[in-house]
Amino acid sequence: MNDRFSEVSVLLVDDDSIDRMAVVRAFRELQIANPVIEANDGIEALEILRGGHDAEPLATPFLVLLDLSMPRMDGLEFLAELRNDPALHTAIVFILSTSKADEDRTAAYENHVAGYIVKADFASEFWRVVDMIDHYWRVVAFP
Amino acid sequence: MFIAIPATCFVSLTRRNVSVSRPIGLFLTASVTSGVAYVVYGLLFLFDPAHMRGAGITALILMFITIVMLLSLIPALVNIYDPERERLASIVESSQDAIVGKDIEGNITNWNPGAEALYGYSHDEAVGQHIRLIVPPQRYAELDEIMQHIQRGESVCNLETERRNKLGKQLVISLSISPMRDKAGQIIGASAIGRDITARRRAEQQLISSNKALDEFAYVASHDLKSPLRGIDNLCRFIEEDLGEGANATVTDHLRQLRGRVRRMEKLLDDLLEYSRVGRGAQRIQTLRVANLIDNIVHLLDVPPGIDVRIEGELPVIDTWATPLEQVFRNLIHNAIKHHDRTQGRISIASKTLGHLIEFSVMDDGPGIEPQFRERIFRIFTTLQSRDKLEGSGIGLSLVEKVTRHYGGNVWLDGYSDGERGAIFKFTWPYSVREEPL
Repeated sequence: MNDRFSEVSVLLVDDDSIDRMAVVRAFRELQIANPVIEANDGIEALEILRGGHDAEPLATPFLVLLDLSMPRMDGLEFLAELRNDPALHTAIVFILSTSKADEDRTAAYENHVAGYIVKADFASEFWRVVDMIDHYWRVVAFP
Repeated sequence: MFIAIPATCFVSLTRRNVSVSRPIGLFLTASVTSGVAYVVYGLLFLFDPAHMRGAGITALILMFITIVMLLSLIPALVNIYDPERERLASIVESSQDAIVGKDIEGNITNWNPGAEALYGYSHDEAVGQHIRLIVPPQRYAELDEIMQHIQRGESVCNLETERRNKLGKQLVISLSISPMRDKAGQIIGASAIGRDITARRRAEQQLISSNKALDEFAYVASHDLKSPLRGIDNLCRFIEEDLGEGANATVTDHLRQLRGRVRRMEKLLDDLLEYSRVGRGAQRIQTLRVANLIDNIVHLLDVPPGIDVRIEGELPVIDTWATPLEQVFRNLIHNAIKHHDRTQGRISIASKTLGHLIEFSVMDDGPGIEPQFRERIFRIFTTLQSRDKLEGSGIGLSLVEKVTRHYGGNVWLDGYSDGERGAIFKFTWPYSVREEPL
């Protein structure tokens, strides 16, 4: 496990509680102890990222695991908000995808998406993500 | 009698021949009838000079002038009876399309029965009115633009626009408008040919919206229907993990079966999605070496070590849609592997040219398909074995059939490959394509 990764908190944005549970269980299985903050949709995620209501903005470094289809504000709308927010537009976002079609739908945000994790293979794919983040770390500083 | 005959003759001529307008016809009728009257007076004087007395000389002069006038009218009369013009006139009269003539100001001068049927106004109601009679207000600007084109001597072809009929109903019309010129080449008006495409347009819009609905359905099927399935699968896995080693064997087995059904459902949804998308989305045409395509498919399929997939003879290089052809080959080769009942086997792929089609064959030495089942194998959701023995959605061959038909070919089972075993599937595919299929 990369030392620096242990400092990273994970913002998990998904409306399906079982999918969120699967990610949390996978972390436990992989013995990843990073804090995981859960959000039901894009609006909740933005509130967590921006703070307010006496809450502090989410401390850096963090990465976002983002589902696409959600009520109120879906993944694409959330990406659009991030892109237009100077404080957040460098956030590292991985899409939790269910099919190839999700990748097609996200094509317009390619520059704002660090990668895709197929939900069905989360546990095996997450190591790849950790590696990729390590790589990111060397190239760009965390926000 | 002297007046009535020519008058009727001329009125009927002007009515039938669209190229003679009504005022000219009336003038001709009047002059000819009065001319005939003068001729009668002249003849009466010649045969009975005493009866006419002083008016005699005047009558003779008028008779002479009239005869000269009538003679000078002969070419015009011949022109009116020109058989070519008669034929043209009858084409206009019998056309199902609305053919309308208007002068340079936009006043209607001609109105055929097709126009009467389409717009609902009779000939007499329409002629003399401005063309705005049938143009809805939101198209006035477009009409002005058309008239500017006409004045510059330009035509407007197949313009899709709106018109309004007598009942006020909006019609979608395909319109072609050209300038009309007199003998000197001066533009004197325009002729417009209109065709009602309201029904066609409505059908097109229905098709667009139903295609859109189908796309949305396909996405829902692949995404929204699969996500609860994934939830069930995850929960099964959580239970398995939490039970650990000490679990009751029946419970573990039931959980395993439950997850098997989830995977079957996912496969059904994936295949159904693929089936619903045949022919949808733009397909790029590319030059394709079929042998390379087969190599790629074999590489991606999990071919067991004892099964040999080989190409017999040469396979062609064609300009075609690669993805659909790949779907067909992948399904046929996959079926041959999946249904093979021995550890050693051979699957061979060959082709031959049949005119503008290529006939491909995929032949295996597996168990083959008994004659009584050969009809049903192409039906959707049909499998010949229990899904518990051999997983399959029953969509593969129906997909192959849908794809080949869509792209102009066909697929069939050619019986046993060696008399009692083995299946030969054959399908045809267009040799060369230049545009999108229907």
